[in-house]
Amino acid sequence: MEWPDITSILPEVILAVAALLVLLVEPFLKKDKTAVIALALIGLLASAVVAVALGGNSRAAFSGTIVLNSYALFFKVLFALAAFISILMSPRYLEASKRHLGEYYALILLAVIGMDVMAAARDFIAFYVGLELMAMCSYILAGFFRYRIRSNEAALKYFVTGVFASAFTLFGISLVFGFTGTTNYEIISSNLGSTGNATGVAFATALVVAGLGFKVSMAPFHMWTPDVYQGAPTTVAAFFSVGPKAAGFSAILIIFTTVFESSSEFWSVLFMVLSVLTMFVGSVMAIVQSNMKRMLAYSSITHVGYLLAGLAALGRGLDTKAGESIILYLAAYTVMNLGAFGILTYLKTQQPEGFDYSLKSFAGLGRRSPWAAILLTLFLFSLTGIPGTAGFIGKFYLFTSVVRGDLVWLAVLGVLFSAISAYYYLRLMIYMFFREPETELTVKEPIEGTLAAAVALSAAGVLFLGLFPQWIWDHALKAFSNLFG
Amino acid sequence: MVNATVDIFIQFFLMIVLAAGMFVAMLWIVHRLMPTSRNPNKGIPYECGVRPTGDARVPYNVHYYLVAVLFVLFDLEAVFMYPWAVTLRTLGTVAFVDMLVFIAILLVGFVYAWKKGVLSWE
Repeated sequence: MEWPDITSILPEVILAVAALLVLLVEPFLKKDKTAVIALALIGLLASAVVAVALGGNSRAAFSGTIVLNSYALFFKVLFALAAFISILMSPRYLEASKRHLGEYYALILLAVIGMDVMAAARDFIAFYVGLELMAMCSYILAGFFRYRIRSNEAALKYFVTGVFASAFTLFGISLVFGFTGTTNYEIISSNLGSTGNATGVAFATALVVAGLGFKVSMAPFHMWTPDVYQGAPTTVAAFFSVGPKAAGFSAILIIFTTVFESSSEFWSVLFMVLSVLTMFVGSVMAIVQSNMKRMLAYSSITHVGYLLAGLAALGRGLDTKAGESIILYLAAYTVMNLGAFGILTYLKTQQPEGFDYSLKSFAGLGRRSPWAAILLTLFLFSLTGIPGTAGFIGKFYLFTSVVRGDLVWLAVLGVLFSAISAYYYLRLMIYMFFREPETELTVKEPIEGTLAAAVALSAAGVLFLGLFPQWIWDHALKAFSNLFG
Repeated sequence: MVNATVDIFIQFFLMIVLAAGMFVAMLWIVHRLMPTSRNPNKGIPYECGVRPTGDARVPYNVHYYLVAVLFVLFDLEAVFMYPWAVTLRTLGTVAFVDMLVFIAILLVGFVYAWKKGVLSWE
């Protein structure tokens, strides 16, 4: 037996060691959890730095099941950033909720390992192991407040539907394996077109779409999203809304451009239909929500709808640059959504009992806590897609690629749904700045500590991507150029 | 091509019909042939011939479950170690280091469980 090439999974190894150290140190700590938080943050930083250092030239390991190239690198850094910001916003919130345990940080690190593997896998088995590792950690994190009935409900719903979706994915994979006799993406992609019969391949494609569609909460597999976001701890919901979604799309991009390349005409149409449906469901349902966590859940579904429009364009050819636009959008979406959830987290830490995320509880926020209101406005502007913010750049590139794919009607629909989304984002701003609160909620302290760092990092990301998009676009181009390496 | 597919489906449905038919037929035959004698004692749960006492659904100490989970964990470790030990000579140093890593990871879990008081019994 030869020594495996450990360098190509070094970022994951570092994360695993950090997670194990967190578990090892945690029982010896009393009240103060600074040590495990520092360990987790250092682990994430180190893994991102190592990924950047190694990702320059692509390398494969474990018989080509795992690769480390600029594509995997882009996502590894993105996942590390998402987890980093989520962890930064967590301590105060968990303390205020009287459930500050070190296991929380270990679980997030383990989930990030799963996501990294999903983006790096070039084999269905490795991909599935990554998917399940991420999913298992998510189920536990959703039920982290196990004394609260809502948190339990979220965990159970997420678990039952998640296992169901995993089974769909596995069924699709098994069909592909039946047609080609292998689980390796590259070999499948060169064989599936000739050996698989068209109906069977379409069936397998649809099954994999259904399974992964659940993870990224595309309609009609989105039902769990609002309930889970509402019931799960807010910091966990923040992580869920970006991490597993980006991981799901990283896997979708790889799988559909290699494995299901031969059926691209079919899945292009499939994603067109799903995109319209997802945008419609997300927008319409977001309008009627009075709970802002649920509103953000439906808004995230709408964003998935935009991304699916990109996938439909990707099916029309790689030269639409839809893949690059999708990963750019994912980066933009990560910072702006984490920022919005960060502000919600801050408000909850200030009022553990009084603040219930309802639209009414935002009334008068502009006077009470101007900084929180201004930052939330920035993130909501970005989610709407106002120029100067990351959200605008993301939508601009994404819809341009959709037009390049000859799907002008879909791009028009996307812009229309963005206009509708302005209604429910701007309504929150009206409450913050122009409505008087019925019962005066007081803010005890300004945004400070690690939470301030998390929000500042997100805000900086939103502005940087919005004002200097060339940097991230260059990286997206580089990442996608190396997709098959 | 089309005929072949249809053939497969016909065979498949034939198998389902046969399997279901066999199942129903066996139940039916047993139902017809068995002697029936009604007796209230037959409704009582069987507990080795003794009259049952109390409810079977009593709450257990949650510790039982924790210890059971730990047992499964380390039992599986042993399951992995058997094939490893048999083939270690041919696999060489790599396999040895691999197993050390595996045990180290499980050891972290063990220390964690120990410190959290899973093993202390009161």
